[in-house]
Amino acid sequence: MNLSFETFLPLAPVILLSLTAVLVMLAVSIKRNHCVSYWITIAGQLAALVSIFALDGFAVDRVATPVTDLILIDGHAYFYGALVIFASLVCTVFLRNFIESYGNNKEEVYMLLLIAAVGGLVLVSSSHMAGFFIGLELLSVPVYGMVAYTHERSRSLEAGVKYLILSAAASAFLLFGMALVYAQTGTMLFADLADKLAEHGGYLAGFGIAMIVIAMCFKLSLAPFHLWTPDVYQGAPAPVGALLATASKLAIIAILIRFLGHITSDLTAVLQPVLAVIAIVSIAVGNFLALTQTNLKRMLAYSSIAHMGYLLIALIAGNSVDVVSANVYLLTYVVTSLAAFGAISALSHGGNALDAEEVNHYRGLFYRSPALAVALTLVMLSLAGIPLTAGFIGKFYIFMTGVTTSSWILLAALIIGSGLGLYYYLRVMVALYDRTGNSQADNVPAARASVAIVILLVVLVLWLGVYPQPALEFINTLH
Amino acid sequence: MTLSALILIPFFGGLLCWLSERLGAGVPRWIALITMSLVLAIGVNLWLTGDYSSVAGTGGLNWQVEEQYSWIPLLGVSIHFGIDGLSLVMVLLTGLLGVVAVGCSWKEINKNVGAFHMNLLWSLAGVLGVFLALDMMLFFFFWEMMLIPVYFLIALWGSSAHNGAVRVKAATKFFIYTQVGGLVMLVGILALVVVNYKATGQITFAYETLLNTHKLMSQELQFILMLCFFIGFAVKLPIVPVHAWLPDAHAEAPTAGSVDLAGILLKTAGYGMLRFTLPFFPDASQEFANTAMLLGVFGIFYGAFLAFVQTDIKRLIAYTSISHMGFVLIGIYSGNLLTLQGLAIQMLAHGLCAGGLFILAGQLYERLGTRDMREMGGLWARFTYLPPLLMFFAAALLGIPGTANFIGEFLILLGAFKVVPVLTIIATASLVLAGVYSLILIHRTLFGQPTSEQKLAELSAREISLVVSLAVILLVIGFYPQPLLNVSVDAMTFIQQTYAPADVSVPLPIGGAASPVAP
Repeated sequence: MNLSFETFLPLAPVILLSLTAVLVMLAVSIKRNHCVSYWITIAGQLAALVSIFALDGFAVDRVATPVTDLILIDGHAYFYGALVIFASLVCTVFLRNFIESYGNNKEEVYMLLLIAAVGGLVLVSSSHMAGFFIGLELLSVPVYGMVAYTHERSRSLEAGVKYLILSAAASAFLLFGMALVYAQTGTMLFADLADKLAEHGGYLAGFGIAMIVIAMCFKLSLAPFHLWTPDVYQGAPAPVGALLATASKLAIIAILIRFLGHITSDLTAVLQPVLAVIAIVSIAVGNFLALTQTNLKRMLAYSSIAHMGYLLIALIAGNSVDVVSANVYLLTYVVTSLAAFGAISALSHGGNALDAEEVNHYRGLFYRSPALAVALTLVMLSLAGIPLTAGFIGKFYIFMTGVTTSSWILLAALIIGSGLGLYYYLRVMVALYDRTGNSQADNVPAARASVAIVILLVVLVLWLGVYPQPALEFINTLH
Repeated sequence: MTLSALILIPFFGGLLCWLSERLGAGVPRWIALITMSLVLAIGVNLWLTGDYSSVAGTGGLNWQVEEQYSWIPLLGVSIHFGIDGLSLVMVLLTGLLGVVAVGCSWKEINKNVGAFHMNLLWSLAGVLGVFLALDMMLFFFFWEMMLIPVYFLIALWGSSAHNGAVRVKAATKFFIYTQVGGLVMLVGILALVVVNYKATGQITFAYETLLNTHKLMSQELQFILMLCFFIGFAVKLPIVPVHAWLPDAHAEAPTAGSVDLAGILLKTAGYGMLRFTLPFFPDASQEFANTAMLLGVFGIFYGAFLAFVQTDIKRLIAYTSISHMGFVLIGIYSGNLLTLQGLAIQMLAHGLCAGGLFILAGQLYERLGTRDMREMGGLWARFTYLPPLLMFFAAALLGIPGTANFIGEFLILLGAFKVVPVLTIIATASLVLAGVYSLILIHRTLFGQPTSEQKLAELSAREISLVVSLAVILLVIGFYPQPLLNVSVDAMTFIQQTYAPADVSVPLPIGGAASPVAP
């Protein structure tokens, strides 16, 4: 194979982000300066984002470009990649205010963030089991560090360790599954998988693929593999929670979509009912357990379990993955979740023992910080999937998938889940306007930059909800 | 532009109310009043300039004004408004009760006046959207959108009798019921679109295109989709097994919220059934008609009995709404022109009558500090104007001749008798119960031993004029309903002909050019 500059050009975003990580490291070793590290991180991510557009990543006539056997870059990979970078960029801004008041070393968190983003980019574009595994680990390992970054808080440390152990277990599943598939088919390339599976079909490979899918369910915190989620979400610093809920989930969904597209239809037929049950159980578990939460982070964790269940419907309802629905849902979910965690981040400080995570912290927020309260109201409505917000458009597409494929049971789960979901979203929403005394409001001033970003995200939520045509058109032309 | 203006005026008016709050509490009130008067004026203008009985007999759709803008062409969704006689009646009702709702909160609401009026006006904007939308997606948007402001109205400005938790609970119950119903309907809408798409290759949410979709599907599918729509509307109407949100929501809502809910929001469901369920699924609806009418009769009695045992005056009125909506259901599914025409009047009359009663209940509460009728009694001696007004509305509630309620119920029963004589006879018997609960309302509040001899604060000119204007309109329609019947005749003829074409041979005895009894 001829390796030239052109071969690696499509990888520009990955390379730029990696360079930025190195640069941050060097800057820290020369002189610790929070501001410098922050701006290098921002600039690097902006450059990576721009490079995707500069490469004409979304051109209609673009053909999928392989970069060695490990990576295959197409429009979808760039779309997910851009979303990953966007999410990590937003998290960077949230992190800054949060970490400012943190007593210990601050700068390394940006490095971890950048490495995780690189991992996400590799994961969404991998076309080979090795790329898959490397990307996944590169995405997960820095996040252990980030979750436990505020290790003075015992919850944070606990969450980090918990996430590390369970993630490692999932990775072991994944590796073993890959080994089994390889043992039977003799290939690690996604592209050859279908042919080889048809050729040497057998229980071993099927078992392997099931294990890979289970590992993915772990990472997506789908029930019954969800047990780590609430603790990790609660323990992680709010901006890291934002990263966990968005960039990490999104990259794994992306690779799952790609992977499912490459396995044979008789295997899909076996997987489908299992995944359908997982989707229904996730919707039920997520929504039921969220009902009684008084901790906003835990509530969002459970709600994310339910949301992943909804998203799974788009993946499994038909004979093939409904990529458009999944993409629309991902886009709306990422924007909304970022805003939700952003609101928590804006009121939280690394120097404090706890984040502003109890619902009581938000009681009467409207009278202290009206803009943030209105933004959070719209975020809750969007999570609940009420029209005129992005969440509705996402849910609408899932409904559309369910109806076109006549998956009535999944639709029923979706409807009941949405009904349950309203209860806890509305509860948070109305607390924002509650005028009764608020003992827990320590009147933390909301961080301005974070609030501004949250408002921008909410504008995006409204725009996607009111005039989704451009975004939908864009997603439809991806290939 | 007129129709978008109908929705945009309350929307921007609401925004303005919120922004202008810092100028003083009076400013948002006046802005809201002017806004709703403007909406009413536009509605009246549409009435005077339109011709709503020109195609009677041909059974076609008669949109007087139509507007269409591109929105999401990818999904075949457009912003498409149209107004015909049925929409117009509803728009007039909304405008009128909107003005009244603003008027009756003048003194009642004292905290966050701007935000209150914003929510009130936005809910009205959503309702107007529901009445005007001719695109199913747009309809669904408005259908859901009107819930959020009402949720806030109940949760934040509701009754002060209980603590906030009770209000929030009632509001949440209301929201979840209607939202789940709405999602079931969404499945119905999408399935309709998908069936149409598979058959024609064209993805569209346009009302007039989807009207023909029922010809493309099997009986079973049609029945299931009809049920999806029916459930969505049944929750909002409400029909008895799914009515539990209504009494709570009314008991906790502020007066304006109750007026809004009973007067207008419930009517969106009746409107939806007439506009969408019947024409979309005529065969399945006929198959389902008997069940629906049985549910209606059950609701009539259930509502009436429960109204009788209430001690909370607002709950009593809420249960009478359930009872009256039973008549609406019978009217809808009898499906001949008489009942449909009666339906338009009945919905209007019920809106005005329930609105008036809720306002009076609110005025009583402002003065007595209780809504419990056991603590009232003997009020006749303590007021000058309120007792006769309450008496008038109670009489209208039981459908005494001379009020619009009588015309509505009479036409519905007359028409339904031709279709389901037995059920109609049973339903007619419930009028006795209507008499009972209306009288018990008056008896418990106005007569008996007064709890104190002290005179209570008299109604102000504002309060009197609000209630009296509603009473006058009820009387005018009661004595001369013909203009209204002329307005709704085209729309109703269309619905009747799609629903039950066999009935065309029966002479159309009322309304419009087709009427043998020329006005």
